[in-house]
Amino acid sequence: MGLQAVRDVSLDLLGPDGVSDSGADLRSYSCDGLTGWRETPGLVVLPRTTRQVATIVSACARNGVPFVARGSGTGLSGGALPDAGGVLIVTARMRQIVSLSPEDRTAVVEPGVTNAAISAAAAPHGLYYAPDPSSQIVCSIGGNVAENSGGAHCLKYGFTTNHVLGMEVVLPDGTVTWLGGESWEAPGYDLRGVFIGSEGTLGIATKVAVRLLPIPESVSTLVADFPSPAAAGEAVTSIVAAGIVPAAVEMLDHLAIQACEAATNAGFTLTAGAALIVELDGPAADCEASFDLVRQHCTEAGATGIRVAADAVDRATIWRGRKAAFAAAGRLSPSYFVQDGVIPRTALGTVLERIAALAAEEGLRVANVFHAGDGNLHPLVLYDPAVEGQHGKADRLATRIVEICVQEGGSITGEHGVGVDKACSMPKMFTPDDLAAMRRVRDAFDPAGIANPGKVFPTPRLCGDRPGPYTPHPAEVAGLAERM
Amino acid sequence: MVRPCTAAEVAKLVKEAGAGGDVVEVVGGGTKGGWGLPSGTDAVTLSTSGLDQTFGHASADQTAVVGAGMRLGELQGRLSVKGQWLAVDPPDPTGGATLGGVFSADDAGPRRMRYGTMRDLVIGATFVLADGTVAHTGGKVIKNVAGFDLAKLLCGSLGTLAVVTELVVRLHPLPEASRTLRCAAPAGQVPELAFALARCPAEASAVEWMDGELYVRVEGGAAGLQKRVDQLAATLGAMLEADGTGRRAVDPVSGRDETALWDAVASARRPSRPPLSCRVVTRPRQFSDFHHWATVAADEAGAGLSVTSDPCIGVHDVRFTGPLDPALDALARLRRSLAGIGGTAVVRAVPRSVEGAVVWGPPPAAAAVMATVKRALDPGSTFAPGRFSPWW
Ligand SMILES: Cc1cc2nc3c(=O)[nH]c(=O)nc-3n(C[C@H](O)[C@H](O)[C@H](O)COP(=O)(O)OP(=O)(O)OC[C@H]3O[C@@H](n4cnc5c(N)ncnc54)[C@H](O)[C@@H]3O)c2cc1C
Repeated sequence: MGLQAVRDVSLDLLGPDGVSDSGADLRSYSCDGLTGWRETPGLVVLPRTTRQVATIVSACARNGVPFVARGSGTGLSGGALPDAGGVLIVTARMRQIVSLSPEDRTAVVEPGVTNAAISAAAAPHGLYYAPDPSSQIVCSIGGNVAENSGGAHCLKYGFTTNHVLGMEVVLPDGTVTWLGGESWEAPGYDLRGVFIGSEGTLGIATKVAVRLLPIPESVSTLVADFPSPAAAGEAVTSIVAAGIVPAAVEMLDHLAIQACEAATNAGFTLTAGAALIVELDGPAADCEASFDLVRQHCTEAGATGIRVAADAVDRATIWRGRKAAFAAAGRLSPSYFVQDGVIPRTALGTVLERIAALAAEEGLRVANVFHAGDGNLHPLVLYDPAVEGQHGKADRLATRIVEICVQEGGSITGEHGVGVDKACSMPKMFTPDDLAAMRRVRDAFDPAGIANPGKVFPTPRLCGDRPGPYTPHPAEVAGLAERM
Repeated sequence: MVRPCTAAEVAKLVKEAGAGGDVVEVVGGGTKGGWGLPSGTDAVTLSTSGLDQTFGHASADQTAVVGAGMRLGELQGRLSVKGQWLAVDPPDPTGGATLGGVFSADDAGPRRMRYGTMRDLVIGATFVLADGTVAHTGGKVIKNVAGFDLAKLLCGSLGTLAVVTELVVRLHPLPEASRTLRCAAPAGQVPELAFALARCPAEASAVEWMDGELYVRVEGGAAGLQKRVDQLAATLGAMLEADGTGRRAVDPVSGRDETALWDAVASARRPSRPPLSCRVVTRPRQFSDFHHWATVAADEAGAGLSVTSDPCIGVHDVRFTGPLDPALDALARLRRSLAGIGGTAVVRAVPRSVEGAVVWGPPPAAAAVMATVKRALDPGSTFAPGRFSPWW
């Protein structure tokens, strides 16, 4: 059969060490960071080279076998959910930094290299890779490309798509090519831009050329307490109106503060209605002047207290407190859903009110953490699975929150991606014609539909199932990563 | 010439044209006629100038929804009322360029070093496919990873995939203050200067080299500007002196002189200058190779040469002057040398008699995939067929 043929090719190519086809081995790959979705793959392969990936993908194409790429498995939308009758192609053994050019401020790396490893390699040259998802110690650059990942600093610096110049890819028919390159501009259509964020549905990236930035001269961070999220939102609006582009702006509401403080003792004020973290970076001369302005705007918006990070250690403590939010919600509730939606930042007040009203309707609590600069909202819907019916209510509430985001002119996902989890929400945001246009591009790359099938696009088979609640990713348990 | 005013009108026109086997050439301000190949004389020209009414500025969210036919200058004027701008500065000496045109060409100016290009600034788009489908991509928020980012595909596609009717852009605050440092810099010293400038913590927003002079722009808050200017001037000064040819002046330029200086750069970069202008892209550290080969190519072919370059990002505009034949010969020579280092040269203004292979040069690795994407979105080849010929 098809899968058998791919297994034979893979065994020949990689040896027994690079191929898993037994029960327990296979099951350890059954989900990504969204553990409610599970499927045991038909076969797992661990190639080391582009040629090996291409040979395996060719075999898949010849035999009509679906394949799914997997980096570090930290995805939060089930993007790397395996196909029971297909091959899971894991990039964990493709971890070389191929080249790094300080003169060009670029590096070429294999897809399994972690996000943080790129910055570590660049650091001796005074450079770093800007996108910083909070999973950066574990997540792979290949996964970042597929998800167009961003981090706390994306307000100022942008996302993966703004920092990747090109990729070597294996297309779904096994062809190897480059989309973009190692230079700033490439003639022809920007296929790199389409591939980035396509969640593994257009092929597998086997090398990634990234831009590196000089490490900023200066960083300043403060935490301001406010009586309410709306007041904190006012502060952000006036900071932005003053022409300041902070490197990061994060907000925690009252409930989230309780959770983070209990988990980390980061020094947040427990009585505050909201905490705002503002970070500036860049030339020292600019930072100093703007930082004074930021303090002033916070005070004018009604801040009841301002704490300025004294040094790098203090700054790290504040960030640890903020980044603990997802995991720390476990201190408030036995179970919860983590939602990821985006709103125009100025709609914050309205949206929080609507969320609170919906939560009251369902008799549930919602803690909110918020990338306040760019409008990316992460409501944590708290519930007790032991209480009859609460799981269903929480699930419904989480879904309705995303619908509110769309109604307010926002998006169903700011960073976790669509995957299987939100494929059925895509029609909330896009018309059938919009989706058909995307599908035409998908079909151009992958007419047989074997690259990560069942992801991103809504399918009738999929759109009956429901996702699962928060469970910690092994990397979180090991203290290697936090969600934001 | 047809001049639709809504996406629905575009859809109707395009569908009719497609059904009748007509070819449609989309034109914004008509400032980039020499980019890619023309579609032939019997093409229906679809002007986007009627698509200039939509304008919604969400200044607190730093975004705007804009009709694709709006002129860039008009847009910047409207945004400046709220202290914001769309952070692109393509050469636009006649003020004719439209937003949709700048997007479809992905044209950019010196400040791309700091802000990126339209590719980085467009967060959503409405477009009409050849079969009359009106579709959207992206959205109205800066952070958004839902679905394929088709705006990237349209950006730089030169009107060959769809008619872009509306764009959503992210905005930046207008810099409070700006200053430009200017100094003489021989080509041989450019790489090390560019290397130092790209890494100087004072964060220059543009570094431009034009026929022996270097211009470094720094902008941002007024309070911190002088210190940053000093920092950059010190970096430049130290390197210029170390050159051994004696101390050379680094002049700060501001106000009207600064505007005039950058206008001059823009007009030098204007791609429509005869007889032959091309965009050359290399890696930043390959500047010396590039410059050497361009000089040799021009000499050997007997053509004149003028170079304007963003050395920090490796994007160069080359103009071969004099009669056309030597200019074409120089281009061919330059291309042969660039091939060895993965550099590219694309012609941006050339008489219409010249063939596609000369305009585009060797095809990119993924040309076949690009052709498939073109067929998938425009199966009847309604939009500007042959523009990328002979690639597809
Ligand atoms: C604790 C935690 C915190 C997080 N914080 C953030 C955050 O701040 N910002 C953010 O954006 N995300 C965040 N995420 C989500 C996740 O880390 C990112 O989506 C990340 O990019 C996934 O990388 P990965 O290597 O784990 O990919 P995987 O989960 O293995 O795969 C993700 C998707 O990429 C595809 N893929 C993987 N490798 C390739 C390849 N080489 N070529 C083509 N497709 C490929 C897969 O098929 C799948 O669709 C977080 C996740 C966790 C668990």
